[in-house]
Amino acid sequence: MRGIGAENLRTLESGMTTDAAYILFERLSLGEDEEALAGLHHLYFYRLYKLACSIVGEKEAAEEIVNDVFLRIWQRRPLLKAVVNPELYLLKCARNRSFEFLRSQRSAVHVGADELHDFPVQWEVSPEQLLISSEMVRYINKAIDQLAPKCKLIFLLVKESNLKYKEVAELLNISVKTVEAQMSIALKKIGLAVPLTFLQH
Amino acid sequence: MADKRLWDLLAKQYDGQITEEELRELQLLLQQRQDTMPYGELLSELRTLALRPSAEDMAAGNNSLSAILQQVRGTTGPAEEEHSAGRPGRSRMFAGAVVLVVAVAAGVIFKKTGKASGTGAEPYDRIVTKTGSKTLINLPDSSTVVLNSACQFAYNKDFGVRKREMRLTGEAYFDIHSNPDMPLVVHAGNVIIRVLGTAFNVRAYAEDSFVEATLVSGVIEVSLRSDPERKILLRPNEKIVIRNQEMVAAPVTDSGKAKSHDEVIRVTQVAGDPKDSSYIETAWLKDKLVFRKESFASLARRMERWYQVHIVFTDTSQQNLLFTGSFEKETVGEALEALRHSAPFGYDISGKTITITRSK
Repeated sequence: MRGIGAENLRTLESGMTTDAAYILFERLSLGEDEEALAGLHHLYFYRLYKLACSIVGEKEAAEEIVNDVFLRIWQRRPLLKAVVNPELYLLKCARNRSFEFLRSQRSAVHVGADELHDFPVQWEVSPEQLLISSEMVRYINKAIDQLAPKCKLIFLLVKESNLKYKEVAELLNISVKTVEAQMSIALKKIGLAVPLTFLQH
Repeated sequence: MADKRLWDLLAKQYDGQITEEELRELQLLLQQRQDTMPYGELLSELRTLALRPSAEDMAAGNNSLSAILQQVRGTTGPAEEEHSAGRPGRSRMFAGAVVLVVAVAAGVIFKKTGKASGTGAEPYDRIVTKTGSKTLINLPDSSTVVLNSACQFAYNKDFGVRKREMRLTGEAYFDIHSNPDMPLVVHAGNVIIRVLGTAFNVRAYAEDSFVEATLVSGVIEVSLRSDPERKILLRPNEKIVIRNQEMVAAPVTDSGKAKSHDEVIRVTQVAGDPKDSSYIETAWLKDKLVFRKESFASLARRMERWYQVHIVFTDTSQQNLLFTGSFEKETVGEALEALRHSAPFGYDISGKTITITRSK
């Protein structure tokens, strides 16, 4: 029952950020709304930055790429109203710009999801959390940090952007089966990293 | 082998794409090892973790934003003056909060008042939403509140600086940024809700005879204004319904004696609909009107706010009919027709007034 409850929570949260992004896109399509642009930046910078980091492997370049994404969004304001899934749209823009950057760097090199670079991610927990202690978060962060870059990126996209496996597959140009398999690995590593004593409270 | 299967199934469940058959298999596998490894619970809790940007990431983020804004301002050109004069958003921005309006209907009236709304002389920023609109408010502490239609909502001007206080008449979904040093307090009708950091839904319309709060994640503490010492702790997936005592006392109790607290307050478990995985209580966020075994009287009040109509009953027996279902894009006429399929009643629509009668 608990699992099902949490499922709802996730859909709801994903609905929430998507709602916010949708509203901000709509505002941008209506005029030169810097506040809306800053709002989008606040919501999405870190996620786009991590995605770009993992593809290009350079922090400065990744930052430039994300800046570029937001500038393009600004230039294409009138078209934004037609975007069905703003969150996925932003991630796809960041992906495209990242690959464009790589292509401009080294000519005609094929880059796939298997050549992703490692990047750091950390999660934290609010203190009133019922089950997860800060001790456990340390174990979880350590386990995530040790995941292979591809596995880590998939976990980040699913966990943080609430993307469906299908959407992650589309974004990284891999199969849904691969996403499912990588998530299985990620969940297992995280699950097994937390000592049993913490789970028996 | 069975171990791998367990994680594969958990991964499927995480995506919400698990079939009923697989779900049964997963529950069986989890049951077999329930005493040793509550992994299902651990993974559910994983969702409550938030990405923590490192100091370096944050510096990159700040750099990026100022670079973008600089470029944006540089490229806007001479037309900017004209635009900013009539630009929505700018003039409506107050106390650092960004108010986003969903343009379902003409929307929202903003009022800046320096006056107190209720107790004390605290200045509050107030927001009033019209029927048929939905409003997202981004607060300075990065909490968000989504207001349903016909709400009055206020929060202290120095929100997040010294304290976090809100007042609500109407319905809202709260996603509150965690800050153990500064709990957030929501006043809704006769109910006080104390929050550390959590997501929950509150429904407290003045014309309803109750206030209800549904907790999605985290912990909230609920108390009555009339009895602040008595605190009820709500856990995720629980809903508390508090009858408005003044309103209940008059017609409902024939015996004339006051109701005890336990009759007035009810805590129930809420379960999401496994099919479309959503709570009834927060369906309005997705522009759905969902009801389960709800009396026609109560449903009619929600339909009034939903469709911006006025619904009158000529006969009390219709008010007690129970309905289950949901509306999304239906017109009010289609909605009434759909309801009439499950229970007999008649209706007349005349302009914005709908009269519910005995079945013809």
